[in-house]
Amino acid sequence: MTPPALRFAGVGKRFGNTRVLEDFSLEIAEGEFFVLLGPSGCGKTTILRMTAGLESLSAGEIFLRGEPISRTPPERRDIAMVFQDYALYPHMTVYKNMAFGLRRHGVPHVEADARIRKTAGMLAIEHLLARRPHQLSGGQQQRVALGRAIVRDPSLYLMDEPLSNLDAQVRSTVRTEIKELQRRLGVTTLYVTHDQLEAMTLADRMAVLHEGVVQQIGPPIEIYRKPANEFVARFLATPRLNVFDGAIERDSGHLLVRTAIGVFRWAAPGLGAPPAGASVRVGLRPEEIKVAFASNAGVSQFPVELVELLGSQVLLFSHSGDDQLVTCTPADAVPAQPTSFAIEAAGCTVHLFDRGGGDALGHFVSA
Amino acid sequence: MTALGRGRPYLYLAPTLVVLGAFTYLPIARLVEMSLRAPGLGTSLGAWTGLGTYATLFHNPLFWRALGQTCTYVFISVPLTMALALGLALLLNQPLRGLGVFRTLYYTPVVMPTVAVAALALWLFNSNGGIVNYFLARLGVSPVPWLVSTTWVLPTLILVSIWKNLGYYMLIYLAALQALPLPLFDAARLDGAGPIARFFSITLPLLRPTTFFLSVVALIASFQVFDFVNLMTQGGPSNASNVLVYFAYQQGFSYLQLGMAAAVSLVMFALVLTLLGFVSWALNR
Repeated sequence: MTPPALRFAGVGKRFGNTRVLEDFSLEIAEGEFFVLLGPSGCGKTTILRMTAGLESLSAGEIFLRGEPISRTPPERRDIAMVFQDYALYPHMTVYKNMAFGLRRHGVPHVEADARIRKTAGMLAIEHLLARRPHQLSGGQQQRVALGRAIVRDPSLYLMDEPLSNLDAQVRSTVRTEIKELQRRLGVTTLYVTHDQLEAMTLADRMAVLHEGVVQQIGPPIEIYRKPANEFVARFLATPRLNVFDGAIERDSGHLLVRTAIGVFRWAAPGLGAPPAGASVRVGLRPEEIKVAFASNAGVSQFPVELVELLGSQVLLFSHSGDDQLVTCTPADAVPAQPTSFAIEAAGCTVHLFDRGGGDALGHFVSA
Repeated sequence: MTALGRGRPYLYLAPTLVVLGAFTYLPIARLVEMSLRAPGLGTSLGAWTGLGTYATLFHNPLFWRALGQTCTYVFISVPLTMALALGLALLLNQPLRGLGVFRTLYYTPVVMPTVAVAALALWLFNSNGGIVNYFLARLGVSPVPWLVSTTWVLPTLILVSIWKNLGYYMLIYLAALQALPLPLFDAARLDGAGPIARFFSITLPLLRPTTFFLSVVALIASFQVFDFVNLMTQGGPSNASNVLVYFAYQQGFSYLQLGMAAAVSLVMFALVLTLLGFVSWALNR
C-alpha cells in the first residue's frame, strides 16, 4: 500500500511555555488539495513552517511519502513554498528567481531554461521574465511566486495565505487559477488561510483549527453542513452565526426546539436528537433562515435595523432581546424599504450545540 | 511667477553655499593656486612657477615611497576591515544570549580617543617588554620588532587602525543585516540553498548599498591616515611608515615648502576621486 503523501503523527509545538499546537495528526493523500483554516494564532502557519523545516517539532513526527522528515534540513526536503508576502529575491530578475531553486538542485541549464519557459507560459508571465520584482504588480508578483514553486516540480506545495495581499478582484482570479493549476499538475498541496471562502472553494478536504487544536477535518461541504461544534459553525458563517438559547420539547410525539425567534420542528422523529427537556444552543446561518415580509397576525415581527445590499443578496440586521439576528435573503424577495420581517420556521436549517462545551448535538431542516 | 519668486530657491540655498564656498571651495582654489606658485610664510603667494612644483614632486623618490606605502595601507586595511566587520556582524546577528555585551565591547575602541589608543598600542607593541611580545614569548615565539622594523611597522599600524575602527563598520553592517527580510532566507532554504549559498546569493547582494557606503567611507578615511603615523612612528623607521598626508605635513610644516604640500594634497585628492569613481562603477554595475 502506498503511504499517504503527507502524514502528521502526534505533532506538537511549544514556544517556551506557550503551547502552539497539540497532538496534531492528519493524513493527506497524494494529489490532494488540503486547507488548514483558522483564525490568526490557531497554529496553522506553525504547521506549515514545521512541514517546510523552518520550525522544529516539540513532539511527534512528519512523514513525507512515508519518510520521516523532521530531522531533514529544509534545503533537502523536496518541498516548495509560496509565502504570504511572496519573498521574491529583489535583486534577481523573474527568470533568475525561478532559476535559483533549479540551479541549487543541480538541474542542467538547458532543462532549467525549458522548464522556466514552460511554467512562465502556463502562468502567462513570459513577458515579465526580464523584470525585477519591484517592477511588478501584486498579482504579477503572486504569479511569479507560484511559478517559482511550480517550476521546481516538488512532491509537495506549501502555501501560506498566498492571496491575502491581493485586492478582491485579483484575489478571486488567482484563486481560480491556483485551483485549476493544482488540478492540472496533481501535486499535493497544503494551503493555509483564515478566509473561509478560500477554504471552501479550494479544498478537497480541510481542517479547522482553534488554539492549536483540530476542531474538525473533512470535505468543505460536510464541514459546512455539519459543523462539529459552535466554533466551527461560527467560523464558517458570513457575516456571522445567529445563536439563541433553546429548549427541546415534545409535542404530540414530535420533537421541537423552542427559541426566542421561533419554534423549529423535526420533520421525522428526530433521530439522535437530544432528549426532551434538554436546554441547548441553537445556531442558524443567515442564509439558512427563511424570511417572510407579509405581516401575519400571531407571528413575531423583527424590526429591520440595517440593510446591506450585497448585489444578488440582501443582509437584514435586527435584534431579538439582546441577541443579534442577521438574515441573508435573495434581493428580489425583499421589498424596496423593508421595515420588519418574520421568520418562517419551515425550511430553516438548524444546528444544535451543547450548552456547556459547544459540541454539535444535531443538524436538521425544520418542518 | 515674480522675479523674487523664481529666485527664492537660491535664496534658501545661499547660506549653505556661502559657508561651503568660504570654507571648502575657496580653500581648494587657493590650494591649486599655491601649488602653481612659490608661497612663502605670511600672506605673499610668491612668483608663479607653473607646474615646476609638480615636476619637483614627481622627481622626489620619497613621494613615490609615501604613495606606495599609502596604497599598501589602503588596499590591505580597507578590504580587511570590511571583511572582518561583515564576519563579526554575521556572528553578532545570531539570536544568542549576551550578544549585547559583545556588541558594546567591539564598539568601545571606536569611541576611545585616538591618542589614548596610540599610547595603548605603543605600550602593547613595544619590542622590549611590550605585552604582546611577552605573550608571544610564552608561546615560544621570538620577539617581533613591531614598530622598529621597516617590514613590521606598516602591518602594525594597519592592525591598530583596524582594531580602532572595526566596531563602526561592524555596527553599520549589523544594522543592515537586521533589516534584511527573513522570508527571503526561508525561501532560499526551501530552494535548496545551504548557508554558504544563502550568504553569496542573498545576503551579500542585498548588502550591496551598505558595502558601497562603507567602502567609500573606508577609502577616504584610510587614504587620509595620519594620526597613528604621527603619534606612533613619525613616518619611521627610515620612512617605512611615511604616508602621503604625513609627507605633505612634513613638506609644509617641517620644511615650510607650502607649495609642495599643496601639490601633494591635490595629487591625493585626484587619486581618491578616481578610486571612488571606480568603486561606484564596480558596485553599481
